[in-house]
Amino acid sequence: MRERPPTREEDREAVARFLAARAEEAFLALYRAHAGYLYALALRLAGGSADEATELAQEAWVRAVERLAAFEGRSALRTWLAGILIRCAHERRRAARREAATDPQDLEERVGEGSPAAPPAASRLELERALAALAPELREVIVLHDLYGFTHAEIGEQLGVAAGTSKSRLFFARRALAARLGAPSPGPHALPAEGDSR
Amino acid sequence: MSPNDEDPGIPPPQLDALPREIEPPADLERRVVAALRRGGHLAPRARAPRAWMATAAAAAIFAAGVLVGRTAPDPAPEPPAGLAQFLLLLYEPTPLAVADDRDLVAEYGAWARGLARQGRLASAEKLAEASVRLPERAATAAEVEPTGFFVVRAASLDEALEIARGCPHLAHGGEIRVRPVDPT
Repeated sequence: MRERPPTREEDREAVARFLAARAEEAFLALYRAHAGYLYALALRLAGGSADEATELAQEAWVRAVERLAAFEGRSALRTWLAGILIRCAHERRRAARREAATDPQDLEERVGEGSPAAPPAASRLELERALAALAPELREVIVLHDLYGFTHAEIGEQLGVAAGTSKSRLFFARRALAARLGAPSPGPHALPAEGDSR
Repeated sequence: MSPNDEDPGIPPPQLDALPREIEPPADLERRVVAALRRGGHLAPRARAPRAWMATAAAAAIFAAGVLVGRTAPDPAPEPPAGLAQFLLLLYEPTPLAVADDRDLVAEYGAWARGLARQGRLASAEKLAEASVRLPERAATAAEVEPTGFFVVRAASLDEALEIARGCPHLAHGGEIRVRPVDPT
């Protein structure tokens, strides 16, 4: 995996190079620059199922290439790709009307593959398991907001919900996660009102 | 974006321990490329060998033919004694930087004939199509196929490398891998 994400300029050049001839080598340069980021997000949104994450990432990459000519560079390419992945995940879940399967085996195999500076796998595994155990609509919000830094406005736009809905889901997600990790959680008085997008 | 700019009133969990990037399964890249090919989103792979390689190889083979006496308008010298054989495998990781293939034909041909006149060229061939692997498996996207080869005679690996450095393939952005032929 790369030591740092590509700059916007590098992304723009790589996109232009691919669109000029649609060569496989040019696509692979794009793919390899962002594959680790996108797969990690897919794995979290899929609740830890490696099979589902692989299918999801594949679908997102194909859809991204279909639409790449429309990429204007207003956001980082990584953010644009993440948006496509999030919509793919959301559509798949709505279509299936079921929760993504969680396979603890996959999680144990995958969480040890992060950066060398990361803490021991046991604590990461505990966090990954706790995230995977959340309801999908809570998990996607806490993953996007607390792990990947999306704002409620951005999450709302990607998921087709109000920013306030994203905010209240984040509250429930944090409370559920804290309970699973054994930390004290606040009472219901702290719950923001639905639709409150402060 | 700031993760905590819209805090809903409960502290965020300590998710810093989690990696933002995870190495995807090895076959994901192949699956994505295959899906893009099925959907017509990638340019077709070049199937035909480059004209320059076919012609240059033909020139080299002609020179080799002269060498072994298959044709004899100008008898080739006997190979110098005590030389080992070395395989020069030619690759094109990116398209060669040339404006006109005909220039390459002249360059490769002249280079190969020069080797043959010195008794240093054993054989040369172009390679067509991609490899078929046994046991059967799909090529990974990272694999690059050789496009041709020369077998040259040299006293040592250093001398073979010196010969390879003179090949016009390098000057145009190609790669050459040199391997000694095991005489046993």
